[in-house]
Amino acid sequence: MHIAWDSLLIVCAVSFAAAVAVVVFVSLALVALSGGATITADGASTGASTASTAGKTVAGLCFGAAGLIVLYGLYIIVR
Amino acid sequence: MTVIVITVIITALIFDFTNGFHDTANAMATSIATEALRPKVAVILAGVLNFVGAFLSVEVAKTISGGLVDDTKITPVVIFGGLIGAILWNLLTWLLGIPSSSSHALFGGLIGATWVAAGAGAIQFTTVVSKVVLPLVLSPIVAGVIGLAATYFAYRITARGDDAVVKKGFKVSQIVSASMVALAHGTNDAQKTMGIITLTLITVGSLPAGSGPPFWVVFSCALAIALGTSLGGWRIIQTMGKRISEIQSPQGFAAEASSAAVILTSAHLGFALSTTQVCTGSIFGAGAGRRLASVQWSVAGRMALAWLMTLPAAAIVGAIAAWVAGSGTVGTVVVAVGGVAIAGGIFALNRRNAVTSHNVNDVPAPVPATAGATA
Repeated sequence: MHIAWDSLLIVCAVSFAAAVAVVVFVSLALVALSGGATITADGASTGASTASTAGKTVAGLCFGAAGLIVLYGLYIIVR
Repeated sequence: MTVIVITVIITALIFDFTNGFHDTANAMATSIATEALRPKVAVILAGVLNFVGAFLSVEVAKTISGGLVDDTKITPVVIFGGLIGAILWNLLTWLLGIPSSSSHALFGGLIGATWVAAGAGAIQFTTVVSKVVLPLVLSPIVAGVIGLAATYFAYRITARGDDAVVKKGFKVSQIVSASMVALAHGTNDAQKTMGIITLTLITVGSLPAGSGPPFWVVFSCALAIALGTSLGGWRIIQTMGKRISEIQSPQGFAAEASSAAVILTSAHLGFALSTTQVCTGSIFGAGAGRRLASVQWSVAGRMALAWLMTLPAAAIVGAIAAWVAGSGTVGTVVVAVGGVAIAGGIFALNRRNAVTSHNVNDVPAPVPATAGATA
């Protein structure tokens, strides 16, 4: 019985890296977008709309990085 | 085309349909639980993506059983028996709200049917271990660890973020990750049925050896799995979305991202894993990643038991079906009528306490323990 342990290890490592990377990038982007958020008088959050330019730039880069990983995933699906 | 071949084709499409609604939860349970998507929107999206996915990859397996049995012993009667075993196991586990592998159910049905038709010598038991048992044990663990890690990072990094922004952002991201899982499912699972129908047609000489699936086979399989997915296996969606843990949007996103990563990486490297077992493992991991004690581990026990029983249970039904159908056309009709009757009974039982798009999220939240919190 042949078990491809090396392939299994690669699956584990690559899956871990890809999933964690996507989640980390998205999380960082959301924190960056939160940067300028304040609470208004009625308790609502101003949220992403008031994020600083730097925050929006960082968020864009992080979403872009996550998007590239997702696009590579789509490429694997389609190929 | 003979009666048995037509029966096999229809039964295969029915299996594809049950595969669809059985596996809707894999992609959409967490998105529905966190209300990132409304239930009906979620299942229709999953249906559309499964339909599209089925057309993206029409390279079907070269063997029906993936090496589990001696394919020279597989006849249309064996395939029919195997499919009956798989369908009935899918329906039973759906009624019980337990996510289980449709692939393993099909393998089990084929093994049982082949055993009756050709004896135990036709079964490749070492391949059963390497292709069924080992993935069954490893895939939920791998996916669970990744889901746990991803959830941990999600909460740690966003701890200082604005709650409203973070929550909305993760809900939107869930739609993307869930869609990836649905698309991947469509590229993988519809091909099983395409392969069965194509190889059956080759076996009886309707197609030349080595043929790919004709367009009508691709279309009908894509449609069957899409329709099944759009119906929504609400019982299983409820289990995966609400009965494992009280899932929040960061966990939902982390779980689906983990599932997509494991499914796509393993498919890319030729390591076949069950979508259902991977997604279930990811959800358990995501639940544990926020708060270990809020995970309903008793649900994990029930699922593990069902997964262990999938192969033998489907094999027993497949064996009985193949034995009866092997007696001739009358036997085939008896099995078909019997299968319809059992399926009808299962659907009738479902209606007594139906789970629908309207009440799928109406489950009391699991009571979290006050100690042992993580992240």
